[in-house]
This record gives sequence, structure tokens and C-alpha cells, in this order.
Amino acid sequence: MTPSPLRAALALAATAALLAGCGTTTDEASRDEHVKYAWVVLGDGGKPIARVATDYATCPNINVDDGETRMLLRAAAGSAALRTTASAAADSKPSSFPLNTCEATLPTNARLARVGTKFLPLPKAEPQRVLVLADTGCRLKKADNAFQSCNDTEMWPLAQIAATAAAMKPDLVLHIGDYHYRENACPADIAGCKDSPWGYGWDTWEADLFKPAAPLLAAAPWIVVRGNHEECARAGQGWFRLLDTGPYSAARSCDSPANDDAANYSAPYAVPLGSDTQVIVFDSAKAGKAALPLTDPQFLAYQKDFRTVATLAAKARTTSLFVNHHPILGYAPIAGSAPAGGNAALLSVAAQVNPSAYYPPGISLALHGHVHDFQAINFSSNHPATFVSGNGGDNLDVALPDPFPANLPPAPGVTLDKITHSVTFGFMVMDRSGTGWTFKAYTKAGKLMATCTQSLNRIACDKVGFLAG
Amino acid sequence: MRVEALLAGVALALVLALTVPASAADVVARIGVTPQRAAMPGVTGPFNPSPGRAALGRLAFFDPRLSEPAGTSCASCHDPAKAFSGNHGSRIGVPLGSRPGLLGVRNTPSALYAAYVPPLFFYQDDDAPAPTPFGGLFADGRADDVPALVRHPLLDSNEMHNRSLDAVAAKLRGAAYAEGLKREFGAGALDTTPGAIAALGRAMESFLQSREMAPFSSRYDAWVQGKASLRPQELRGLKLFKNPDKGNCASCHKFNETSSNPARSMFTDYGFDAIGVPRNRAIPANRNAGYFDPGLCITARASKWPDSGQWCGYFRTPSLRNVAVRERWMHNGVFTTLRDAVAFYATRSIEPERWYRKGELFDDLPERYRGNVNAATLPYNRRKGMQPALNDDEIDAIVAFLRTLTDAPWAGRQ
Repeated sequence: MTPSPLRAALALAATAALLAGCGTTTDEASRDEHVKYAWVVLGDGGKPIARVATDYATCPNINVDDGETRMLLRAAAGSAALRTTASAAADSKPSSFPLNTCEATLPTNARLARVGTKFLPLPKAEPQRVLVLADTGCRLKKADNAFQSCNDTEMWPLAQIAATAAAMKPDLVLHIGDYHYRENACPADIAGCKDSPWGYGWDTWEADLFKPAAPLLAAAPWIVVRGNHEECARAGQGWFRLLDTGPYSAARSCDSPANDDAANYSAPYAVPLGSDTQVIVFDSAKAGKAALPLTDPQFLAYQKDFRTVATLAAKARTTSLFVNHHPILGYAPIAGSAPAGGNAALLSVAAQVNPSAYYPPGISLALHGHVHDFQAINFSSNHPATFVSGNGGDNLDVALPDPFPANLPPAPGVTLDKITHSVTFGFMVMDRSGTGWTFKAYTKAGKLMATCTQSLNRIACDKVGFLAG
Repeated sequence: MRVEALLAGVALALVLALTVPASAADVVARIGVTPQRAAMPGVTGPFNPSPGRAALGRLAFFDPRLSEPAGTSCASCHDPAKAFSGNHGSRIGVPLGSRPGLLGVRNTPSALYAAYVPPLFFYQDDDAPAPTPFGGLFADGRADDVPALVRHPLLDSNEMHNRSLDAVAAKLRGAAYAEGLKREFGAGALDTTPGAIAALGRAMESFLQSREMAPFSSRYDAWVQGKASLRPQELRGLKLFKNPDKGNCASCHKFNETSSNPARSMFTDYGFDAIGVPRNRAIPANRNAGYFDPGLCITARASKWPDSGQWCGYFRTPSLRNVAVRERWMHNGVFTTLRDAVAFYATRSIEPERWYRKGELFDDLPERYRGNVNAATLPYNRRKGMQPALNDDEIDAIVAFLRTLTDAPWAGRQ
């Protein structure tokens, strides 16, 4: 790693001393002009982790309730050597991260947290509203000849979605992966993405996530799920520096392809949503499209993870929501053909670990992204109802057929009851409703499209079939 | 009925188009004999053909001696007065051939911009569940190179009706431009039939690459280069055209109005789609209730793709450049107005009785292939009883926008 050109003259940063009451600080590291972004992610057990991206050499202080501590350096600014990426070498470059990422673990019951004048969102003991979105970045991909108009909020509406959703005052945000899509350079003649950063460095993360989603990052802590766009050969480096809730290390940085076999997987963990519900976060970033042989290393990795899920889901008197990026009992629309079912690689493992059920006992619902649409699926067989909320900003998929074909299960042995779906840009909101949750699909402008109520592992939606945006 | 039988006696209409050289380096697999590529083609052109060759190709394109009987040139159907489309005087949506009363089965597409069509290939982006085909000449993607292209209309009994390539070669040897072909392609270029047909193909390729055949001179082209303005209704139509909740036309008819390079706005992705257009009952071949034009699946079978039947009913998405100058619309020429073509997308399944005899959906396909029809892409995913994605004003606006795609030579004729 090579040091970034941080302000060396200020490297001997003073210890913090906040002026009482107004948030002004004499600690240079904690001044707002250095702390570019501050956010909170929830890790294993719901542990809140405050993060900042700073251009200062020293991490800032964080004030939590009545105490003040200096945040710890998670990932130092720097630029790793060029690694193999999902793109041709000529269309790749080293990922530069000129900002330090600092972090501090917060008490679960913290009432107030502040860095400089920035107040951080904190988890509530019993969150009432969870904002769900996925697949939010702006696609710049040379191989697809796809250059989304990142500069046009009509064509890439994440900023509108974030503003609309933040106004709904969620207690938590659940992002189900694929934050980053700006992989290749915008051609010089295209104004729609002109001057966009590209590659996998901080500038692309800022443009694809931190800047447009700022209202949501300020509104609530985030539960972050890894998508295939965050696998190591793509935006994995930024994923580990900025969002992953585990410890950061060279071996889990995606800087070296030699570590990809480990860094492309993460152990599942649970985040409680109050006393009666938990989200089980599953990393499927590297899941392929084909069923896996029993001895395949990926099969074994996911097999271990599904067994961990079973342990987590066995928690008594708890509604468990399984959350990963690739739909398992969901659908992938295909123009001119019946929709495809769930991800074949994950299904092959799930079917082996939990024959016919796919999920272990205790999983009530499953939430996914990856397919760029909204799906709410209820099964008449004993399988967890499934949501897909992948319409958060990247180019949309084609619609699922309406009426939906009869006898088309997403996986063998599963019986579809009803499906509600849409392909307009938007997001989903989970509202606590008695002992369960109500799920509402919204357009990017905040128009309510459908409401689904949960009962155990079933959902009932007020509309069925295709929903126009 | 087997698809092979469906094709019996069928003559397919001419699509003059040319292949673009493609690197073999990005071939990651083959599906049958068709390459699967690692990347979609980038922006093609502008071409810089030899003026001499282009002039020879132009002479051949307009040469009425090349048909049997003489009198029908490529330009007879690809009429320069109609932006190189038209149907040779036929009024039923498909072209007359060189013999009186004999008609083809497909509407003549414009030969303009055909040089930009890439050879047939598959591509799968990382989020797609399967590879899908793109490119290839003709509406069914069957030809990858110009010699293969030119032989089809020359030999088609419903088009130029030559009995053999030998007969065509003989006509080339006697053409006024034969000496020119020899100068360009070698003194012995016309000595053999393969040599003569290759020379014809290469000359035709140069002509189709010429500025005359890809003028990029529409009001839209001027607008993206900051040299013209579009009217409010046209701009509204543009927004509707690309809005994924409304027309969603740009999901297949790709363009980029933020690019100053008009070649980024070909108004096609060169992909294939089965949109289930109504049967054109005026086509003589359609008097046989068992006859259907199966489209891409014939190419799929010839190219040894697995489950070729899944591609029956698919036709390549055409460019919409100069679409307002067409005589008829859709691959079978069933529509007589551009507005109907746009309205069809919006109301296909909502008002089937408006489009199909007795409201029988997708009646230009045998029942077993009707499931191939795309019911997933907006706006034609709607069910009967739903509101269409486009109202009448919005359809008008899209049509107004499409009229901006007419190149300067035909601007007054749409």
C-alpha cells in the first residue's frame, strides 16, 4: 500500500476537545471539512458500528452520549496494485482510496453519537420501519455497451429514491446488495455519464452510493448485504473498506486475487429487529448460475453457511428473515420465455442442506435483490414467502408475465400461490404490525403500489399480478 | 406441421445488409456454430469505403439486368425514393418480385444503415440467465457476410429469380461495369462464378458503407449535435420513447440522445424479439392456413442451436431510422400506418380484437410457438382490462419523435 497524499502538515493531529454545547471542536481530525461521510452499519448481533471516511491522517473523535473516544483506523487510505477485475485489463485500473475509513463500535443502547457536528443515526430497541432497497448503482459497463445516464435522475433515480425514502423516516435501512456499477469509463461523447468516475475506487463508491444515498445514510443505520457487484474482482475492495461489518484485514480486502477464495465468502450473521424479529445476512456475492457439484469448494462454503443459518434461525420465539442478494425461491424474467427460477448454485446447496424445504426451520420470509424488479411471492407449499426488491436505480429488467404461468415453481417441490410484481423504479418499506410486519412497495416518487401483510411464513398482498408504475 | 415444412416454397425478402468484421479474440464459447462473445460490439463506423468500389456497388444495386427476367434491381424494392425501402409497387405489405404477380413474404426493410448490423453472435451479461442472440443479416439473422447476403435475393424465386449463381455471374460479365469490377478486384475476378459473386458482394459492401447509405442527416442527428432543436411534442415523444414505465421503446430500439455521436443512436440493439404481430392475410402465401414465417428458428436450426424451436416467431429488431418513410410496418407489412405500429405495442393484449381476427392473439404463429411471444417487456405486458401504458396523445408524441429520425433526403416525404 502506498500512502495517499493526505494533509501531512496536519498529521500531528491534536487530541479532541469539543467546545461545550455547539459541536465545534478544536480537534482538527474531527472537523467537518475532514469528515466527508459518516454512517452506521449494524453487524453481528446488531452491533452498531460507526464509520467515517476522512481525508485527515488521524481518525476523528466520536462523542457517544457523554463520552468521547477516538475512532479506530479501519482501512488506511491507499491504492493497491492493479488486480484482475471483471473487465479487460485495458479497461481496469488500480482502485484508489484517498480517504481513511475509521470506525467505532457503539453501545447498542447509545442515545446519541456525533462526529464533529454530524449526528449519527442510531438503532432503536424496537425498530418500527425498515427501508429495503437493492441494485442501486449506475451502470457503466463497456462489455454490455451500457452507459446509464448517471447524470439524469429520471434514468438513474437513486437520489430521488433516497430522498423519498428518507422522508418516510425509517428506523433502519436494509440494502440487499449491488451498490456499485460504475465499472468502466464513460465514453467521451456521452454527456449522460460525462465526467463520471469509473473503476472500483472511492470516487466511484462516492458517486454510486455515498453522495446520492446521503439522506438515507443520515436517516438510519444500515444493514448491508453483499451483492455480486461486490465480489472481489469487482467492487470487493470498497465493500471491505466501507461496508463489511467484520474486521478488516489484508486477507479480507480483495486487494490480492490470491485471497479471493476466502474473501468472496462471509459467515452469515443475525441482526435483531427488536425482541421478536431478526435479519439473517447471507453473503452470496460469488454465487454462479449453475448447480454445484457436491465437492465443489463453493458448494462446501455455502453448505457451511446454510448450516450456520440453521443455527441462527433456531432462535426461539423469533421471526427470522433470510436476506441475501440472489433470489432463491424467486424468479428471473426472460423476454419471450417462461421465467427462470431461483439461483441454481444456491438452490443446489440449499436442497442438500434442507431437502425439499430449502430453508431451515425458523426462516419465515426471504428477501433478495439482483433481479431488477419488485416481487412479492406467496407459496401454498410450506416455503417462506419471498420478496425481491431490486428496483433501486440500475437499469430495470423486463417484467414477469401477467398472468403468471401456472405450475411454474421457482424450484422443484415448491408451489406458487400468488405473485405480485412490478418493474418500475422504487423501494420497499417494512412496517411493524402487531407481531409481524407489513410490506409496502413504493415507486421512486413514493406512490404506494401494493401492501402485503405477513402471517408466519405467508404473505397476503392487496394486489396480485403486474403493477404499473 | 414441422417447421421445415412451413418453409417449403417460401421465399424470404431481401434485407441488404453487411457484416462488420469481428475479432475472434472475444469469442468465449460457441452455441452451435454461432460465437458467444465476451462483449457487445462497440460503436461501429464511420466507414471509409473506396469510392471506386462504392460506385461499382451502386451500379450493381441499380442494375435491372441482374434479375430474371430483367427489370428488377435491388433498388426496385429498396427504393431510393422511399429511403431505400418499399415494395416494388405492391400495396399489400410485401414486395413484388421480378415476375408479375409473385410476391415475397416479408416487408422490405430499408437498406440504409445496413452496414452497421454486426454478424450473428450470442452475448450474456453477468446478470442475464442465458445468452441471447444478436445481429446477423436479414430479419432472421441468417447471413453473416455479403456474398451470402446477395445470393438470397438473387436466387429467390419470388424476388430476382435467377436460376443459379452461374447465371448471375454471366450477367456480371456482360455488365457495363464489368471492366470496373475487374480493375478493382483483379483481371480474373469475373472468370469464375465464386469470384464474380464475391466481387459483387464486396462492391455492394462498399456501397452500403458509403455516406449515401448512412447519411446521419436527420433532425434528430442535428439535434444531438446541437445544430437543431426539436419541438415540444417531439421532445415529449422522446421522453416517452425511453421511459421504462411508458413506451419503453429504447429497451430494444437503443439510442443515446446524450451522445453527440449519432452512431450511438441506431435505434436498435440488433437483438431479436417475438412480438406477435397480426397475420397479414393479404400475403399470398398466407392463403395457406398452415403457412407461417417462423423467423429466427430457421437460422437457429441451421446453426445447430439447442432447442431451436424456442426462437420461432423471433425477428431482429430493426433500426427505426427513417421509419416514418416506410410504406408498411412490421416484418410482414401488416400495418399501414406508423401510428398503428406504435399503438399496437401499447394495446396488443389489452385490445386483441382491435389487432387480431376474432381477437385471436399471435395469429401469425402456430399455436405451439405462441408461448415464445414476449409478454414480459413493457408496454406489451398488459392484460386485457388494464390501462394501456400509452394514451392517444402519448402515441402521437412518440410518432412525432419518430418522424425526427428521417434523413434529410426524405424529410419532405414522410
